[in-house]
Amino acid sequence: MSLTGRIAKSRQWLQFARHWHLLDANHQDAYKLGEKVAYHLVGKHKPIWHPETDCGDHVVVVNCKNVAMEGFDWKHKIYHFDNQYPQGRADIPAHQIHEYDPCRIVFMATYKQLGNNLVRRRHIQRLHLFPDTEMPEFVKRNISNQLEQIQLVPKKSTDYTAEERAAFPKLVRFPKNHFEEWEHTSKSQGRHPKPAFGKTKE
Amino acid sequence: MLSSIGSALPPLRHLARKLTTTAAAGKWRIVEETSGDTTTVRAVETPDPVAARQPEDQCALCTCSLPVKLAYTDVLILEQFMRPDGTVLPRQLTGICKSQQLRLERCVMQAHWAGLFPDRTIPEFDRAGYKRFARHWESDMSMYFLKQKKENGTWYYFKRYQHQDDGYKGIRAKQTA
Repeated sequence: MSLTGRIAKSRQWLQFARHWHLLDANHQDAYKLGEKVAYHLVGKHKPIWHPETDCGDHVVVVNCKNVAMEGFDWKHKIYHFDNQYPQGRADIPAHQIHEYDPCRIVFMATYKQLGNNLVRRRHIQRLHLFPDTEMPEFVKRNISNQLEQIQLVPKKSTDYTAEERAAFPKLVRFPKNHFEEWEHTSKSQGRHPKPAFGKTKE
Repeated sequence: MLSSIGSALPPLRHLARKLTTTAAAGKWRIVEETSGDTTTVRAVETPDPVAARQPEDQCALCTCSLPVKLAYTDVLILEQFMRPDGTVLPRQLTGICKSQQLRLERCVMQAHWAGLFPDRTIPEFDRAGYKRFARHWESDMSMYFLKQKKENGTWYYFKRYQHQDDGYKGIRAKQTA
């Protein structure tokens, strides 16, 4: 393993170069995604990492509009903004922010996961967010690696082929003298007319 | 004849732990035939390769000692317990235990909210506001752990790439419009 020569030179350049990673945010939890993105923005995935050397990489996050949140967090997560100036306070739920700007939730999640230090503004400059897969030419040319997704994207019922459905075992077993009509949708008979409290049904 | 159909098929996983010797029972179907002024209503039996459920059979979803829980992503399993309009079959038909039935109902609700049944919903299904966005669930009980979470957001933000669907196009677009 010689330290001189053209191959060694290009290997050294590759080791210390700033790489561009691609990550698909489709159906990924915003904060778990932010943790992974922050890990790569800071450069902790490299064995040559040091907090003082600016060895972070660029990360391009795609399909930001399909980012997911756990349960009812779109309604329950309230973002508190305060810029220390008068009338600079606001409490906005996550779905309202996402409707207005689909990339902002992912931005805020990565900003939080970068920690509270002086270099996070430098690192967040290397984050590129796109609501879908459309991006400028120069970004496409720079991308050299794709990162693995954290969560499995669940398959819809329409995504399964007929062969997969046939191969899947049947768990339901109906008793003897079972009518097929019982599995079909039946017309609703409406709500039971319950008399109001204190009144008897006439 | 019917029993030979059942034995010709490869053994299904859920039958391996309990062997039944009864013949494959059929499902009944009501058929109406009109000829002139008379309508004949008959019940027609169709053979079913899956054997009929016996009263002493175990719940279909209880997997012995395996710590496997039903999740909202198990779409093919949930489909077997659902009607075409997206509702869940009653326990009297499927024969599963109460706790599994409740878990199934929760998983079906979560799958509907996550949009995993585009062909089994009613047209009036509520997809307004936050319900349009992607949701994922850690467990079936997580729909009950409701708590308002305060998150610190930052006014610090920069938007490098403009998109045609953006709400705010900048001050220049406002002046030209």
